Amino acid sequence: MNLWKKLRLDSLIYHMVVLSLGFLSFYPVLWLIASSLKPSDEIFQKAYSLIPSSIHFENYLQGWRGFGGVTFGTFFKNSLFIASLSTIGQLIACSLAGFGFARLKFVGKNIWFAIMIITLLLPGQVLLIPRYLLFNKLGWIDTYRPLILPHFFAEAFFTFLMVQFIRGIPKELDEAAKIDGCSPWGIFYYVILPNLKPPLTTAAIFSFYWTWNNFMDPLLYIQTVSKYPVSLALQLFSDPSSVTNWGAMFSMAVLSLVPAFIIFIAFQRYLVEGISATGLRG
Amino acid sequence: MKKVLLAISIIILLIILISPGQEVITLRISWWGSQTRHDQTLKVIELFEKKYPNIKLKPEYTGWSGYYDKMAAQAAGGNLPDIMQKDIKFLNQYIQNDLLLPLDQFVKNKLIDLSNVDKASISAGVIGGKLYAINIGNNAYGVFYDPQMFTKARVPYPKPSWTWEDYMDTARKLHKALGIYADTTICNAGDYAGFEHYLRQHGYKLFDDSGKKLGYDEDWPFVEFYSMDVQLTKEGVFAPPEVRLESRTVENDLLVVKKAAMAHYWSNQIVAMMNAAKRPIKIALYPNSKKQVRKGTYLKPSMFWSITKNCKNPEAAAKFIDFFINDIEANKIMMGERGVPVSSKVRNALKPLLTPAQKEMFDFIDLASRNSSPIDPPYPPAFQQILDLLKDLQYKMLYGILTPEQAAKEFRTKANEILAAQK
Amino acid sequence: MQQIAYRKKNITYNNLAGYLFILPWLAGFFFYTILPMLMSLYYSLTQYNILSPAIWVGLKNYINIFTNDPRFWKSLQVTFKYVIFAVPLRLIFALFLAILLAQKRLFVNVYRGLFYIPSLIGGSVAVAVMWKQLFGVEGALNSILISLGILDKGFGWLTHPKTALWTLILLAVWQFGSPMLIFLAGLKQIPISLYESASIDGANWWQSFIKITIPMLTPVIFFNLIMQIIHNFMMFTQAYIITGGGPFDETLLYILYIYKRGFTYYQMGYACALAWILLTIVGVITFIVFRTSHYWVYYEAKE
Repeated sequence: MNLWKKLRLDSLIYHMVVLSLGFLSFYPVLWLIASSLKPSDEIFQKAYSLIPSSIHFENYLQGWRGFGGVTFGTFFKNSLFIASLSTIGQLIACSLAGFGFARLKFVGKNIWFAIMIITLLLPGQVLLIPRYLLFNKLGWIDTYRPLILPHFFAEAFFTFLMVQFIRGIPKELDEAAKIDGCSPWGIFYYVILPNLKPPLTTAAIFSFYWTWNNFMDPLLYIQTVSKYPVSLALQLFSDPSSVTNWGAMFSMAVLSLVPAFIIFIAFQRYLVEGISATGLRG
Repeated sequence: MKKVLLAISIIILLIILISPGQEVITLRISWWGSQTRHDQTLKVIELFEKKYPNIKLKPEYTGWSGYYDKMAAQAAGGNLPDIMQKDIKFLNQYIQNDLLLPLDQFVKNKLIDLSNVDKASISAGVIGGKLYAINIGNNAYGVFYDPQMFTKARVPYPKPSWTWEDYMDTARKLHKALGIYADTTICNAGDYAGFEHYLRQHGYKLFDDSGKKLGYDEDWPFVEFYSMDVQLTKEGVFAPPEVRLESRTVENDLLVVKKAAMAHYWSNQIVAMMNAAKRPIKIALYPNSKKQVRKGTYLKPSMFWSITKNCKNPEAAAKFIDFFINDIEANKIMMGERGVPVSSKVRNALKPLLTPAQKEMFDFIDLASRNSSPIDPPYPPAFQQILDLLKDLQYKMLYGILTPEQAAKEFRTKANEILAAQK
Repeated sequence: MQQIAYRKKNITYNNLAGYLFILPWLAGFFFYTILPMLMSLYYSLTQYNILSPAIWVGLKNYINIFTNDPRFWKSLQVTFKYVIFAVPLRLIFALFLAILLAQKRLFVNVYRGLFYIPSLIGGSVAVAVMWKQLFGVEGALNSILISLGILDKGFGWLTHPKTALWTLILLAVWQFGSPMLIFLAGLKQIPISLYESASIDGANWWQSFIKITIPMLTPVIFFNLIMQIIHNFMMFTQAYIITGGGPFDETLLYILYIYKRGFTYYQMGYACALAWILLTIVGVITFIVFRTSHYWVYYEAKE
């Protein structure tokens, strides 16, 4: 009896704490959604209220209409294309590179690793112009190549993430596979990869939404409006010197959250799945 | 007979085959704006392409934010678009780095017809004696006000001849009667235009023509102007600094949300403002100074079209610019969204179609053009830095960290340093 | 003899394998990173306004930065302050929530969504407007505080020199979803069997936490610590769109300053010099953290 009461209290406290923190965390998003349904002028004039005076779904219609005949349907399609390809490429690349750094012995490993970390330290802003010049020379301006191809090369962030997780996998498994005659590739494919679901999941979620939200690179590299991704298109609404349709912009900003959120929901169950008794697969 | 017919048809066929077909010229054109402007401009392009079927325009447009970053990158890579929308702030830089094509030749051969455009509207694009950019919409700085609030407070509307003393008096009366701020500030947060007007009224300029130093060398204009600001803020007539610092868009300006009776903006923002405020707003000329030597107001191009040096078909580009400023159907689509059209013919054609907000803007520019003096030369490249400095000092004065006298000195010293350091 | 030959062959084989596996990174490095990095280093020794070719000036930029630029020191100070507070707060919240959300409870999926979604919003204009509307003088926070009687008129959280940076720190902490996700992944790696044996031995929740969870999480804590330090030193978008560096440069984060110099003032050479100085500073800090990691990071796979 006592145990049952204790469990319920425990559960109640848990849910209350998490819910209240969750509400605080979610409140600004709620505000965004509410604003997307308000008439444009009310967004600023009655900022504190979460409840629109009248629901204006036409904000969504106006927003979706996009610009010059190019609707947000096109923009979303573009973003999906760019983000999905980039993510797939990144997952392949960083798991390979991560395995190399974490498990294999080779000359210069530590130096390359240090260099890899250093590449994270230079701010992107100063690399913008040099990179633009490079891609310009290659004739890749106004294509998706500068946006997608770099992701097929492993990025330091994700590689480092993989390294840390691989180092957490017991080497005994490797040894066992080696005794069975496995090459490094075999070890990678049969031993390490199956155990990388959690970090790969995380990497997928991050990679997707970072490329999804990236607007600086598309701004510089894409010239044709029908090739714009959502992140860039959103920004076409706002010009401080003329009439900005805030309702339309907010509505599309809210919609823009949806795909990344879906990816999150779809993948995050890999972070919940129970692990077997030994804690590891295979 | 048959042979003759055959011969004729063969000749005709040959003529058709041999004569050069009109080759299609493609021009890249870039601009910034919001949804309205994008839609309108695209329609104008459609109209243009109908008139000139052998010219195709490839539009590249963005919002304001990032437009110049993108242009800078393209400039570095040598692939700027053929026709660029430009703001006066960035004109000098692009000219100094030899990126724009002088347009005088097109004016001479009437490819760009400026016969209906008055001199004041053209001069802003002339640097070093050459015309580099065509004005596509006139603006003037004014005091926006809510006439209903004035009536309620029993304060007379501003007259074109009103002075700074009248302005302060009006402000105080409004504040007393209505209990709200009379104005956000005497000079929009981080904006230079108010101070610039004050300098011009007293025969100075913000920047010297050479661009290597400030256009004035005594501190008193600065002190006088900003002392008004500090004083009225202390009295609660103007909004306190923490309210001002929150960068505001037109939609939540204090005037729109009924927390102030006046505001300072460039005239083409009247449309956005009336849309947001949902009540009549009028524009008054900037106050005069009792000791002024000339009118401070000037007609400022809200933006220009320029042709970049790497354009391979400048005549085609010139045709577009000519179409843009002179074609009446095109301007009926735009209705002065970028500012009041520079061609008097166009203005007259649009007059019967204006909405109240647009009419206010047109009337104001009309008034301003009769009460202004020529625009000063375009700003030097270090303009942004000077602006940041001015903004910083303005707030230091408002928070009481510096007196206007100290700030005046600091501004002059530091600004001149920055300007001198430019190459 | 044969043994040595065998060993040599093995080493060569290992080297080859190693390089093949890191090829995805190495190729990207040479193709996409090293060249721009070297170009930016070159630019840092020039005067470059982007619109025209760069002019060599040697170390002039660096000298000016250190001797003639109070904004440089100010932005360093602001950035350090930001990092010192944002990083620990973010990590603590992330870990706390990850532990809460790693449990198999009802609705846990929904909860995770609630906490993660703020991070998805990133740095769009909408975020800026929203944050301003929350913390502005007429914003939501002030309305609540006024109705509770704590304040009698709106306070300018975003614009007061003393509080402006804190609103940005708060924004960073609010978006703790990313490190939280990584902690969640790390928690999932910990074998349940360890917890089971511990409870058999009579350990309570706190002891399991200290003796099992934390040590097993150290590789992930290490990762998050490094990444958050680097990431927060690089913070830009939020400062750019919400406060623009003001008031009085109180929120002039270092990268924002670099952006201003490079793209607003068209002094790209100067901006590159600033960037390389930052690289050095953060590099040193990162190196120190790496060095100390031997003492506190525990890897399951003994190296």
